[in-house]
Amino acid sequence: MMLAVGLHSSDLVLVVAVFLACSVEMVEALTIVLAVGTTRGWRSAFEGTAVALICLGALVGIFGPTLVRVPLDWLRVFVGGVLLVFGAQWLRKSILRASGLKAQHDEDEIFAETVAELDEIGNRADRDRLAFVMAFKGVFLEGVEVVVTVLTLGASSHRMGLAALSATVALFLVGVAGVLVGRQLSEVPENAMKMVVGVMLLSYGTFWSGEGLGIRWLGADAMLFGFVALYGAFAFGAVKTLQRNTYEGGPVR
Amino acid sequence: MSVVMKAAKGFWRFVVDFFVGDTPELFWSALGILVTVGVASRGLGLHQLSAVLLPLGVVTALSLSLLRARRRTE
Repeated sequence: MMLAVGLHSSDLVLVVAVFLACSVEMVEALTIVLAVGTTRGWRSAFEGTAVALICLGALVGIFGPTLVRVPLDWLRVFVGGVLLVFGAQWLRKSILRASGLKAQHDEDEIFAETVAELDEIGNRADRDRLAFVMAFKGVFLEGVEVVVTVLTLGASSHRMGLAALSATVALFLVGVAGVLVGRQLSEVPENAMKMVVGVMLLSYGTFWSGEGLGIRWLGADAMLFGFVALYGAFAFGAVKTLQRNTYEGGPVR
Repeated sequence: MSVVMKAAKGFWRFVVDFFVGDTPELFWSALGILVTVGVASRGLGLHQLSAVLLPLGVVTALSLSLLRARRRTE
């Protein structure tokens, strides 16, 4: 199915999935960097962030070209499998949060906890090793998930450029928003975004792994929208069912 | 233990935690679904059945994982 601007319908799902996944992860990383920067000074926080971004770029540089050379069917099964696991994990977490069985991800709380942790340690220096490590870890760990999403979706659809562009736009917008707002982005509807990404990753995972295993989907690319509708309806139904049956207990992991 | 071995073990732990995390049931379910659908589609030529089996398996695995999570709160 082709859209008016010359993009395939699968490209649209790809752009939205990568953009939202990157935005969610970057908001989490930005919260940590802001907490480190305001508590321990910006120099080491920026250095940690920069080194983490260089390492993530190196990962893309190493694994990107390698992935493209893998035979297409094997690549699709592998990528589809990774996306199924990732998508299921994201969707499960967002369903549990939406239904009240798991505590909501609270950027304000994470910011306060990080600041408190760093305040306790004290001993600031011009080059702060602790601030560097915290900023590096925050950006690198959140970024690895972005890298895997971009590489897998980009390589399997042979649209690496489009996936990278979508990720870059998300990175830029979240960065600009962070600078403008000057604090953690707690107003971002993170759980809703996570749920949409989970649905999209699962849809792509089902589509690509099926193609790699020899299934020819009814309606070809358009079947992606069928999966989005299926998993979206499942998520909605699961949230409603779990909300009705929620027990008063502590949040689960 | 050499530095290389330590680094390799650390990397392996990171990879396992990254892909399996606290929901091993989802990882093993995805693997099971892919193997089953692969056998049905590639081995037995049951393409239409496989097209139903794959999304059905995903929904079932996710439902069971959610039920497991709900039981933990009881």
